Amino acid sequence: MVRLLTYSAVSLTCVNAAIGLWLIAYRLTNNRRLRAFSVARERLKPAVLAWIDGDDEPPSQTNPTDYLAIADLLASYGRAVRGGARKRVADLARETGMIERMVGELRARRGWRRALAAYRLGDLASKQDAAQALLACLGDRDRRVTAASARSLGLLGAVEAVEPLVRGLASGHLTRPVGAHALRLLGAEASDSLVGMLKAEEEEVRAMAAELLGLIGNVGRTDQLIEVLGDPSPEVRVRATRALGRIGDSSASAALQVTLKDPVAFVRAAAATALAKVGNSDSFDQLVLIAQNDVFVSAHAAAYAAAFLRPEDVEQLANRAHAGIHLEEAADLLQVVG
Amino acid sequence: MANDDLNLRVLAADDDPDILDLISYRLERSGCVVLRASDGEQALELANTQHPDLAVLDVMMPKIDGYEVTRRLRANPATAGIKVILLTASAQEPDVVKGFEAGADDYMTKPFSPQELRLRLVAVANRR
Amino acid sequence: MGMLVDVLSATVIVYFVVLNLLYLGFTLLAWRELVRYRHSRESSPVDEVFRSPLTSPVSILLPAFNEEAGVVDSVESLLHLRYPEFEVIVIDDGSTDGTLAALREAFDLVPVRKALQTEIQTAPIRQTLFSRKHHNLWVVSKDNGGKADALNSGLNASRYPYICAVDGDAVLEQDALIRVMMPIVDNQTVVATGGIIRIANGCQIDRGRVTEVGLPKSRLATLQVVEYLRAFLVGRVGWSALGGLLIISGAFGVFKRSVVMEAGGYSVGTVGEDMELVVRLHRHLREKAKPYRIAFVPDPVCWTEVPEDLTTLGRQRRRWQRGLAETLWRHRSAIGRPGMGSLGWLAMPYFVLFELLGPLVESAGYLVIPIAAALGVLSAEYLLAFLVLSIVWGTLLSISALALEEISFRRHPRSRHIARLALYALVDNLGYRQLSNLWRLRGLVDFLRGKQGWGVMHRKGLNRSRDGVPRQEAA
Repeated sequence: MVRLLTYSAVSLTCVNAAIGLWLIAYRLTNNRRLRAFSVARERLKPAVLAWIDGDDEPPSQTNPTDYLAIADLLASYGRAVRGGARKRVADLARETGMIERMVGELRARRGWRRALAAYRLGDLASKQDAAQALLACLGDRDRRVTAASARSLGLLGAVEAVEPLVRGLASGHLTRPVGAHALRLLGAEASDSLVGMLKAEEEEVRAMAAELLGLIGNVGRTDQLIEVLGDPSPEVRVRATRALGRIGDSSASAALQVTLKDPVAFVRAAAATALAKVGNSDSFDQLVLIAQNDVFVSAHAAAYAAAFLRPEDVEQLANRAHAGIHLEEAADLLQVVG
Repeated sequence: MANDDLNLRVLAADDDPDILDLISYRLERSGCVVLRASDGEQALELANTQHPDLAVLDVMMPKIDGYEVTRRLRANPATAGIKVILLTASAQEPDVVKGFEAGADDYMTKPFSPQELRLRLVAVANRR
Repeated sequence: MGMLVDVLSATVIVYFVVLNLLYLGFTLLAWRELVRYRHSRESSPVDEVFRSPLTSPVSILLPAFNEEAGVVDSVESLLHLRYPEFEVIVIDDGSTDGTLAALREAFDLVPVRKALQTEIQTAPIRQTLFSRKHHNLWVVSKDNGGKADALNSGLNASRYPYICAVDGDAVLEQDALIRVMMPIVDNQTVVATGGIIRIANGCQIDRGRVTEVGLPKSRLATLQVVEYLRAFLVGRVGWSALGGLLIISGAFGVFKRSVVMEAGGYSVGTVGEDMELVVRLHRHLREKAKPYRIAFVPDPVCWTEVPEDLTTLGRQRRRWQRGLAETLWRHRSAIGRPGMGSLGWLAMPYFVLFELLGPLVESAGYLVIPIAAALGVLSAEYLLAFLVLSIVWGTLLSISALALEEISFRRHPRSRHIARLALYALVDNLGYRQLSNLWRLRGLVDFLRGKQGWGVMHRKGLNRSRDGVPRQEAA
């Protein structure tokens, strides 16, 4: 027994020593590698900048470190620029074979490799080179891959991605802010498909479509969104309400005023906020009533909305007794913010 | 890319060295003299000592952000005449308003086109 | 008598074998998770989340008591966080120094009537103030009630769906909030997340930003660096993966507001309110049989100062152990109960057996084993071998934590840092661990004796020895 313990102790000590040495060696080699990479990157930067600016001479790469440095520079600039400069990034990435390699990586076995390739394609590629391949990745079982593909498709302006993106968002398979951001970038082309989805069977699809129409901000869609205010699902109603507020079209005011009477509190709150954005002060009296009588979340929103629409009236009201905590807060803030 | 002789002194401030290099490269190639800063404090110091004609400022910078730099430039009579273009990652409306309220002359969102930056620079420099 | 010693020494030995095997298991689990995390990080859509108006806004709650030295810097660093929409609510918990005055001056505060929710009772509110300079900064000034009470006031004042509780003197990195929110952004069933706490002693901090990471000069603080790496990179990562994360540090954690309100807010009667809330959330959500997740995110960093002297450190560890005991006692009915899932059969029993009673068993071991050797029940060689083995094993765990740090985040850039940490990993079992045990044992005794409150603290200014936020003794 003692021998077992002694052998264990000795072997563990060796393991410890090995790990300790590995730590130091790993750190040293890593630091050296990173330094070489930084040096290469700084050296190649002017050539890359010249290329992006329009020079015909591509930066020369003499070894793998150079290749990695150029790829990193291109990715960084691909994220930073648009227009002609971005096209130049895509051209160089294509010429050096980077895009081909990454499209190949989209079929890698490991999820993180696929995700990384999908992500980088958004920074480096052009729509023609990568959109098809990325579309296929939207159905990947790994969420990291779908998120990265969605992001890149948005950046590349791939309109064909609109419907699969909305479906992915509705099913929950795609991260909301990422998918929504991509759809915003795809803008006007997206809104046609989205209007169709306002009538979908699934509640989440309708809700997502409504929300996205609001983010895209197309005034022409106001009527279709107003129809959705009568949807049986409160989640759909609240997102349509918010969307109308974001679009800001005053023709929605009458419908929004009706929504102030919605049975669900957070929908009423959204209606109040939307009315402020739409700029309709006819609803002022109704808003004040809500601010004084309704539950916290809707009362709060109504008070702020009322203060936005008719500030002097709210300040007067707040000076009277029993104005209610929400109107008082709104009035005080008006004084401060002006 | 035409190499113009713009003859302007431009202060460029961004905490991302890649973007700072990009802006400097484009403007130097257009004939400007570029003063480089990596944060708001440096930007103000350069503005006060080197007297640029124009400033291209990133909004999200350490120490002092782009809005605050703009406000301080406007508040000081020695630097109030410097034209300011703000660069930001966010295109949300309150940020745009904030930019102009701080005293900026123009506003560009990232990702940006370097050629567009040059054009806006010329336009802003020619104003008044 | 001989048989008693026999049994006791056998128990102690078995205990340690099991414990260390479990630690090893955690280390391997953490390895897998960190590698996975590192890969995902490169394709993480942080920029898109930052630019999206759909990203949930957050209310940051900063409870402060007598923090005039650092509160302004803390608030400044919070205001500069890279996050689309958020508000900062500072709760001045009846400070008797210039905290409120400092805030007033730095941020141009004006008194404003604020509508506060009254779901949770708190000590009376004196006034609410709004900043003219930063329209997302509020200050709630109230009578002293303790940290939990202050946080509850913050809850009542917050209006966004998520809250982020931070400590008065902690420094968050600019990307910390957005990164700690990523699991929530990705999956709405995640109700709470916590980030890693790293030690600020020895780092250069300029206006609420860490400009250079360094190692502390103090030996005690450096030992804690190794300890924190082990606790966070192995412990929290491991438990998070198993669904049994019981602690989200009060210095930096995000919670879904509605769930916290449903569960009743922070509990005022305990000194470990951060852990108590998390355990209560687990129970509450399991009782309702709702799918949920509480996750640890190893990346977003909160820098905080740790005590550099033995007295303050000892007090801190005593208090932590007492808080642990209070929480586990309060929720003891969850242990082994059906429907409590891995909380009931894995996490809580582990914490009771190994974290809570650990110091007791280990101290007993230091007594019993030498007696056993003296009585001849165990041979001296056996004793020695066992001692050496346990020290070497402890070193293995510490150095593995360093290896985990090396393959994932590598926040200590200089080579000599890692060499120094490796050295400390070697000695950490030769005294520091034993001392820590003693403090924790005293904490356990404190709990059994029914001690309450925090005791008296000293603050020294910016380079202060930190022992958390001082409070008056509860009645």
